[in-house]
Amino acid sequence: MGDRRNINGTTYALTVFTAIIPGHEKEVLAAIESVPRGAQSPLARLGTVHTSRLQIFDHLVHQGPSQSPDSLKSNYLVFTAAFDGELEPFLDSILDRIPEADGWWRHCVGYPGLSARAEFKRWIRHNQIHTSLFAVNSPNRSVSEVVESLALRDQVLEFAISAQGLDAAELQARFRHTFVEGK
Amino acid sequence: MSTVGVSAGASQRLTAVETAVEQANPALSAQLAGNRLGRLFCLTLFTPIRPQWVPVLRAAFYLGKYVSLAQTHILQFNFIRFVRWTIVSPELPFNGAPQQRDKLKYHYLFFESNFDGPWQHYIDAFAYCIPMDIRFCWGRGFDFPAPPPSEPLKRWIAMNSLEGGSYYCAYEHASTRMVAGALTVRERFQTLVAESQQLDASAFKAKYEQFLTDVQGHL
Amino acid sequence: MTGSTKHSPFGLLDGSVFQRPPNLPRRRGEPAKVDVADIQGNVLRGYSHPKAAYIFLHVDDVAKGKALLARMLPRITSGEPWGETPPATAIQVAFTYAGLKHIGVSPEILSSFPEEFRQGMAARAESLGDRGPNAPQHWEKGLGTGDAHVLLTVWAVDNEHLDHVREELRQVGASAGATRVINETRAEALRAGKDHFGFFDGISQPAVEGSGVQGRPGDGQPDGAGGWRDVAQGEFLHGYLDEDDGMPDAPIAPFDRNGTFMVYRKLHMNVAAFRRMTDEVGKRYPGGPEQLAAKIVGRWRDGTPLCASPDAPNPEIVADPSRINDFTYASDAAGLRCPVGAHIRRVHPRDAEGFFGGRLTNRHRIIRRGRTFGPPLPEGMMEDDGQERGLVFVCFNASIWRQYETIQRLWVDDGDPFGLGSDTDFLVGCPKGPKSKLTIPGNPPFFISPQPQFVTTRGGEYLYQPSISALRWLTT
Repeated sequence: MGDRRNINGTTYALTVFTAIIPGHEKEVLAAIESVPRGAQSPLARLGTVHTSRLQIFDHLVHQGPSQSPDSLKSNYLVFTAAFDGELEPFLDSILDRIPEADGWWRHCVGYPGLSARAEFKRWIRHNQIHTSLFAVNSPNRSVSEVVESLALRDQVLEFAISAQGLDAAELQARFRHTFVEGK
Repeated sequence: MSTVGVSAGASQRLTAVETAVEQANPALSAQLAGNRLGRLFCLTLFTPIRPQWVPVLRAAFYLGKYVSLAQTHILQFNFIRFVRWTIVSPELPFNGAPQQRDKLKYHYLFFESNFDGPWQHYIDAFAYCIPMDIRFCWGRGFDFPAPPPSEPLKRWIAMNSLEGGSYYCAYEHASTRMVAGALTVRERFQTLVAESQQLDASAFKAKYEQFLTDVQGHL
Repeated sequence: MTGSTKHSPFGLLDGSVFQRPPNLPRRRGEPAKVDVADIQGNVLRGYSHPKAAYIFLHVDDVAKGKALLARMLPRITSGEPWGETPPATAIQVAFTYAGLKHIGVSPEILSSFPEEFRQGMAARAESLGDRGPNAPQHWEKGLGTGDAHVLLTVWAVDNEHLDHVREELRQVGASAGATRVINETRAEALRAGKDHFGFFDGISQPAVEGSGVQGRPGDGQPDGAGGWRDVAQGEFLHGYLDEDDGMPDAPIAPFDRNGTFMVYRKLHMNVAAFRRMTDEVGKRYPGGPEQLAAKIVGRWRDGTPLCASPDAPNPEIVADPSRINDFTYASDAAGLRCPVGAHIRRVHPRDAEGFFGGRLTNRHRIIRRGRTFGPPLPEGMMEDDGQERGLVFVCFNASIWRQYETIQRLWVDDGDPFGLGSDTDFLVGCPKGPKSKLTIPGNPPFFISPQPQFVTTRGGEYLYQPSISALRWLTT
C-alpha cells in the first residue's frame, strides 16, 4: 500500500537513506562530487530519470527554543530520483547499466554490491522511505516525450518564422517537406 | 558525529553561493551543483514535526493525493516541476553494525522540490500566494516563521536547506514552463498533422494558422 | 586649500524652463511620512531641469576629497519641497563600493553591503545580458574597472549653470589634487519627453507611500479590488517598512537609513536600426510600421497604452494623467492587445498571468530616473550618423539583487517567467543568437526574427546614494 504513495501517474519518487560507514564520509563526498554532470551523468544513460540528487545528510538543524535538541548518530547518503515506471525495472536498470553506483554506495553499511542483484534490491528497499505525497507538474509524461517535445517545439518555431508570409501552396509544400517527408 | 559536506549556518548562504557560482567560481561550483542545475533549483529540507501534528499531516497527505491540495495549490505555480513530502519516522533505516541506530525524538518532514529558480522568488510565491498551505505543512513545526512575511521564511529555508552533493536532470536547460509548453505544442502538432493529410493548400493554411494561434503562447 | 572658489548663483527662476510635458503635470504634493530633509532629493521625485551631467570621479587624495565633499554638502539637494520653482542647479552624490573602500569606510561597514554591490555591475555582466558588444571590455573608459569612486549628478536650468558647476568641480578637484573626472556624460531632455526612438518615456513610476508625492492610477500596485495602492517606502529607501512588512536588509549605520542603491547604465540607442526594422518589417505586418513599433514597446509613440487603446493612439487618454498609466494585463493574458513580450509589460508586469494579481511583482519595482543623451537623429534618416545617443538609465531600489537585477536578468535577458522561453526583450535586450524573436500575438501570430540589437551598454556602475547625514559623516 505504502508503495503506491511513491507514484504519480507514470512517475515514481524514490527516496533512500543509507547509513555511511563511520569514517567513510570523505570518500562518499568525493564519490558523489565526481559523478559527471549533465549528459555525461551515468543517470543519463537510463533515459528514464527526470531528476535525481545524491547528497550527504549529516546533521539536524535545531529549530529553536521550543524544540528539544535532537541529533543524528549516523551520517547518511540520501539518494532521490523521479523516474518513469516502477521501482523494480528501475533497480534492474541501475544493476545493468550504472556500474558507477558501487562507487557511492560501497561506503554505506550493509551494501551488498551490484554483483549481488537480489541483495542489492532488498537493501535499497529496506532503506527506502516511502513518499507521503508526490506532486508532478506534467504527469504521465516520460523523459523521452519531454525531450522530444522540446526539440519539436524548436523545430516548429523555426518553421513558423521561416514560413511566415508564404502563400498556401508553398506553405503546404514546405510543411510536408519539413515534417512529413523528412520523417 | 563528524561533519562533512557543507555546514548549516548563515541565512545568506544560498544566495552567496548562487551569486558566487554565477561568477563561475570553480571552487564553489561543486557545492552548488547539489542545489542548482541549468534552469532548475532543488530545495531539500528535513525538519521536525510536533508529535500531535503527525497524524494530521499524514491524513492530509493521504487525502492530498485525491483531494488535490497539492495539485490545485502548489502546482498552480507553473515553475514547480516535482515536489515530494515524506514523513520520516523517528527510527531511520538500520543496517546493523557498524551503523549506530538512530532513534530520533521526533518524526521529521523530508521535503524536496525541483523548481525554476531563483529560490527566493519561489519562497515569495509560497508566502504571498498560498500562505495557508505552507502554514499547514510546516506551521506546526517548532519556531516556524509562518508567512507572510516572506523574508523570515527565507531565512528559515536557508537555515534548513540541505546543500551539496550532485544533482541531475535529463533536461536541465528547459524550465518547467518550457516543458509544459513544449508538451502542449507537440500534442497540438500531432493533431495538425493527422487532420491535414488530405487537405488542399488553402484549407491546410487555415488549419496551420489555427494551430499557430493555439500554441503561440508556447513558442 | 581651495578657498577661492565662488559659490554658484542659486537664483530662483521662472518655472517655464522646466520641461515637464503638459500632459504629465507635476504630481500633487502631500505631507511626507519620510525624513525628506535627510534624503537626497531625486530618490522620491524626478528633477525636471532640462540639463544634466553625470560625472564620475576618482578620488586621488582622500583627505582632500573629503574636504571637497564637505564644501559641496550645502548644495546637495534634499527631498524637502522647494516651493514653486526649483533651484537653478541641484547636485546628488553616490558612491561605488570601490569608492567607499577607497575613502576609508571600515571593513565592518563595508562587509554589511550586499554581495552584488560589492562585486559591482561589471562582475555580473554575463547574467545581466552584458555580452558581446555589451561586455565590460567595450565599456567607456572609467566605468566597470574599479576606478570610479563617486558619481556626481548635476542638474541645471541651462548650460550656463551646468558649466559653472562642472568647471568648479573640475578645477577645485584637480587643482587640489583631490579628484579627477574619469567619465562624464551630459544629458538633456529631448523635446516633449520623448526618447530617441520617438516614444514618450518616463510615464510609469511606482507611487511611494508617504513620499510626499501623490501617485496616479497605475503607478502603484494593483490593490486586488480593481484599484491601485502605493508601494511601501522600504522598497526604495533603507530604514522604512517594505512590502514584506519588515525592514529591508540594509548596510549598518550610518548607511542604515534614508539611503538607497542606485544603478547607473549608459545605454546607446541605434535609432537608425530601429527605424529600418520597423520600416521593413512593418511593410509585412498587417497593422503597419507604427502599430509594429507600438507592439514592440507596449505603448504608441505618444504614450497611449496598447492595453487601453490597441488599434490607434488616443490623444484623450494621453492628455489625461489619470488614464495614461491606468491599465492592467490580467484581462489580456494572451497579449492580443499588448504583446506578452512587449517592453513595458516585461519590465513591469503589473498583474500579468503568473504574477498572481501583482502579489509577485510588488517586490521588484524600481524608481527610474533616466535621461536621454546625445542629439536626436534627424527625421527620416535611416542610416546611423555615428553620433553617440541614447539613455542614461538610472534607478533607485533598496536591493539591487531583488529589484533591478530581477528585472534585468529574469525579465529582460530571459523570457521564461512570461512563457517566452529564452527570448530577451526585443527593444532593449541583447539578442541570444539567430533564434531570438518577438511574437506579436494574433490570429495568426506574427513573428519578428532575427532580433537586431538596438541598445548597447556603454558602461555602468552599482552605487550607494547615502542620506544627507551619512554624507556628512563621510566628510569627517
